[in-house]
Amino acid sequence: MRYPVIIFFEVLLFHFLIWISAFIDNEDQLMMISRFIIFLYVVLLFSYYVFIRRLFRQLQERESQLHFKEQAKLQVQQKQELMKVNKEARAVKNLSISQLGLLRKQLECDQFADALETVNEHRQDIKNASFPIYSSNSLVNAILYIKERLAHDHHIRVNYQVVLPENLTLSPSTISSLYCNLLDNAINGCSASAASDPYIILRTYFRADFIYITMQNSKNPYVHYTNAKADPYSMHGIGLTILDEIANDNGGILEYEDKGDTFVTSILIQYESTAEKYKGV
Amino acid sequence: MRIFSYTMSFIIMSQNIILISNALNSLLPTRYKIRAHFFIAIAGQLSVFLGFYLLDYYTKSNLMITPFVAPLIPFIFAFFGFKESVTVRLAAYTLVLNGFMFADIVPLVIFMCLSSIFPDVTWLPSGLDNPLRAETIVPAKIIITTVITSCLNIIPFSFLTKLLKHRFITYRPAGTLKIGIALIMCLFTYNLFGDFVSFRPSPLRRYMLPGSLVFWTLSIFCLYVLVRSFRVLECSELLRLKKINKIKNDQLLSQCTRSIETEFLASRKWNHDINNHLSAITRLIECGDKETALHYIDLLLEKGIENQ
Repeated sequence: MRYPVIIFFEVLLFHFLIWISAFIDNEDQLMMISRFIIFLYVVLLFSYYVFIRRLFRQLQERESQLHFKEQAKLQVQQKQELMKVNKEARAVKNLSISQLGLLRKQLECDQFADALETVNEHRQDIKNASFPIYSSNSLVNAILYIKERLAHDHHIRVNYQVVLPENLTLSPSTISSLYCNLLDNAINGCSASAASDPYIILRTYFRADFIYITMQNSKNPYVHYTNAKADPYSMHGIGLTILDEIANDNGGILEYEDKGDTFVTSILIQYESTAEKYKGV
Repeated sequence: MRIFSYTMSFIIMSQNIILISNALNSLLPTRYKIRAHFFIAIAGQLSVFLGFYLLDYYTKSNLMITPFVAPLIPFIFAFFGFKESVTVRLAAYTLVLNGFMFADIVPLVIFMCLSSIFPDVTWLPSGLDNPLRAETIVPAKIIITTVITSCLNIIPFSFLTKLLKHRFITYRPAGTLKIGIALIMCLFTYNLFGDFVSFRPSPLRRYMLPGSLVFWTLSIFCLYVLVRSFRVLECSELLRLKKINKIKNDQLLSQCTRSIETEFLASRKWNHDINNHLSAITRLIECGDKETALHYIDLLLEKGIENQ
């Protein structure tokens, strides 16, 4: 706030001197004022440059501090998430080992019928405990699984219909960024919606060289998202900006529509190697 | 003395142009190669020089030459090999830049043309009523404006852009034109009045109250634009930093997701294998081959413990 005020008063003084000079007849006085105006002009330009530099440096320092904190928090969350998945996988293995132990005992005691029942039950247990498969792409599958769990924690109903091509040429970081931002936006929108039954419907399919992703999620009907501009003072809109960039970089387009209590995001992305030619300079 | 008066006249008119064009420069698409910006600046300035040269040459007969020259800019950018979207954005930017130059020069030229159309009426401000002065003021103003604006455009391109990297990502050509046209119109009005203020004796003296009111209204508007440009720059810089941080977070998240993906694949393989083993054991039990089934289970238990 300090810098714009200084610039404001500098320019005010500058204009004031110009205004005053219109009423001065004395050549010496006019000469003096003109020199002062020129000096002030140079100072104004210099201070404008210096203030912008300082402002940016301050912003950078503040943001990097915030980022370190955010990243530390994210790392903890990720560690917990990974541990949870590990724990779930290990639980199935432990269950299998214990069931094999029981099976062994039953066979030793010649309880063949019970043994067969144990085997069938265990096969059903494994089936139930297996990680769900939403997509043929294992990375997308992992993302969708993590986000589904996050959505369930927020009591959000999730429906995925994902059909992806086998020769998906998008980089893993692009895929991760794409689905994470899309689903994070949807979860945030649902959490803020205050709807009784918030939901997320994610559909992905492909045709020709393009992948179509549409996502529908609940939102607060009293908040309207019609402006593409991201708000730099909160994280609102940053995800959409990144999605827009991903779409543009891959010869596609991002569109979104506010339908009152529903928000629909549609992304079209070129996934074949021909997308390369549309990339920026 | 007159030189000071003319210099002051130039400063009045260019100070806002320079600051606003600096702000506009900072909105350029710097996610592309930094080195390219130097060439972009040169190309932009070449076009402006060309426009001025033609404008100067045809001052009294063809005032509209600059807007006709400006659309040639996309071809200049195409020559440097920029891609479609960049060219469109830069063309919009250069059109606005040309508009600024146009707004700076045309108010003076208007007086000269009016004088040539109606020779019986004195349309020129008192500083311009002498034909010799009229011949020197406009070219001098063109040269000074062009040289200083060139420097101020190249400097932000090569130095400020390092500070303002990734600026123009979300900025649309339509937005540049919308903001640019509004600014050009304001500057045109401001300069038109500025020309009157700076010549001696100042017409402000004759129309003190209305003149001062117009002067201060326009000045306050310029002040608002300048102060607002700080806010705009702050917002866009903050947005850029947040976006970079978000991308870094996404990369971190991507690493974690890949670890989970590995875990998923391992788990799926394990489940698939154990399912097959259980099928085999079922078959052995159904065939009554107890010993082989027990041996098979022992092997699995050993393997399972190892895998743990």
